[in-house]
Amino acid sequence: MPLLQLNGISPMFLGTIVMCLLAIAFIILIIFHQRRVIRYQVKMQNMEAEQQKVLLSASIKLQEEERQRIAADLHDDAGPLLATARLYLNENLVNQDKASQLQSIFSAKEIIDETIQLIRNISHSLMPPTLKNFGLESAVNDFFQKINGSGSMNVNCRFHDYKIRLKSEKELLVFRVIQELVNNILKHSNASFIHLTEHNGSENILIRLHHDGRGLTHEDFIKLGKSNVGLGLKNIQSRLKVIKGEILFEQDSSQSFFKVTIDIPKDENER
Amino acid sequence: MLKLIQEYYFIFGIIPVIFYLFLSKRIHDKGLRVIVFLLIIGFCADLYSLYQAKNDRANYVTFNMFTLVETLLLFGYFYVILTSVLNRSIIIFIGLVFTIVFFYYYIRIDGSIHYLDSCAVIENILIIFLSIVYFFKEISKPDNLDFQKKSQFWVVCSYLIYSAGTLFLFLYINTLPKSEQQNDYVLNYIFLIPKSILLTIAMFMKNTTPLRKKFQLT
Repeated sequence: MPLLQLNGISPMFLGTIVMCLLAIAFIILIIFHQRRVIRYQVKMQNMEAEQQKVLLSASIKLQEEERQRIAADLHDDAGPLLATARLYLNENLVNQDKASQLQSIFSAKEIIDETIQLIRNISHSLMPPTLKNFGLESAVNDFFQKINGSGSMNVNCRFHDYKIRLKSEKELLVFRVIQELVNNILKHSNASFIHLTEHNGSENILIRLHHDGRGLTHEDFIKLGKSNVGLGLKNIQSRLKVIKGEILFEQDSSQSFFKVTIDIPKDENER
Repeated sequence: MLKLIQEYYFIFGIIPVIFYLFLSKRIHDKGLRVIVFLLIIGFCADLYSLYQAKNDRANYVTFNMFTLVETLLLFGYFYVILTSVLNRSIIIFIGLVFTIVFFYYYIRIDGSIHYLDSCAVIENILIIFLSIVYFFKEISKPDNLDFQKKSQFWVVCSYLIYSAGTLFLFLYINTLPKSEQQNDYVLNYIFLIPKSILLTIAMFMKNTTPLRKKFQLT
């Protein structure tokens, strides 16, 4: 059989062997390349796990700070107010004349009203009632109206077709991220305006903030996220991690605006 | 052994189809339907060729037409798996050029009495080219880590090895004496074995849903 006569190898047989080996070598090369990419990805995942630890500690720190703030508010404001009210309503009240009694009761009532307002404020700072009752769009509008009211900056927002609300916990996290981003812009960017837009997709929601001040690029954001400073940015990251969201900081192609885009995937029941 | 392969080579083509039918409920890859259709046509063509050979009748029309159908269906398969506009335009272009070249050779050499080896060679070169394009496209995707788990990978591997293995056979077949042609054509049947095995593996692969693109509304 000519096919098996190896002493005088025909060009056809030789060509077939060479081509076959080349094809197999090519496939093996591709597979090995892919293995290398996978190893690299595993390394990246480990780094991400490290980053997650940093985020976790940042979020614990934030929680502690929040608790301390609430404790301080209750201890320094609500505590003295209630103590003062108690002073007005002490045992000697019955021995006083009618006018003094009425005056004491009136003062105590005023102090109690003030305390109620204070506790309401603390409670609202924990969970804005507009967000709870009317959703993210109203809460953001409310928040932006307050900033506009101060007259320091022109802020506006536009929601496109936000009809099906996200889960309340998710809305709160998104709202906190927006609050943190806006606060950062107010504090550091020296911007003259902030424009927020929301776009609703079937699988995700995109929220984009534009401003004309000094902003961050994504490289800056990653650098700050890894460093010991930038607790607010770490909180943004950890909050977005919970809802499997992503954030992208970029400069506009015209180099005159900075934009931050948040990508929030929707759950099945939010579509 | 070679004799056995020579007589029962047509069975190799139908094995992946049998597995496809068994596993059809869990297979969602539409591209595989093209391959299965091609394998069924190949099986029918092989049976018809055997029938013609038994009656000592020339069978070049079936062989040549199968080359055309196989090439166009494989182009169709690559059209499904290579989604970029440029790649698809190239596939349409080379598909049209191949069809024109095929009919040019068919009329010039008379495809009813000659085997169009040039067309088979062109087909193999084009399949190798598209396979390389496919692999480069796959490795250039950063989030495509386990593309070996896709049926497409195994289908492309099977046709790449088969086309590479039979390229020189089709290149030299018409230069050989008739007696040697018969013997050396066994190479084609031998390469049907890895092709069939790889296609069968492809039938077992589950296609995973692609990841959603970030920062784009979906």
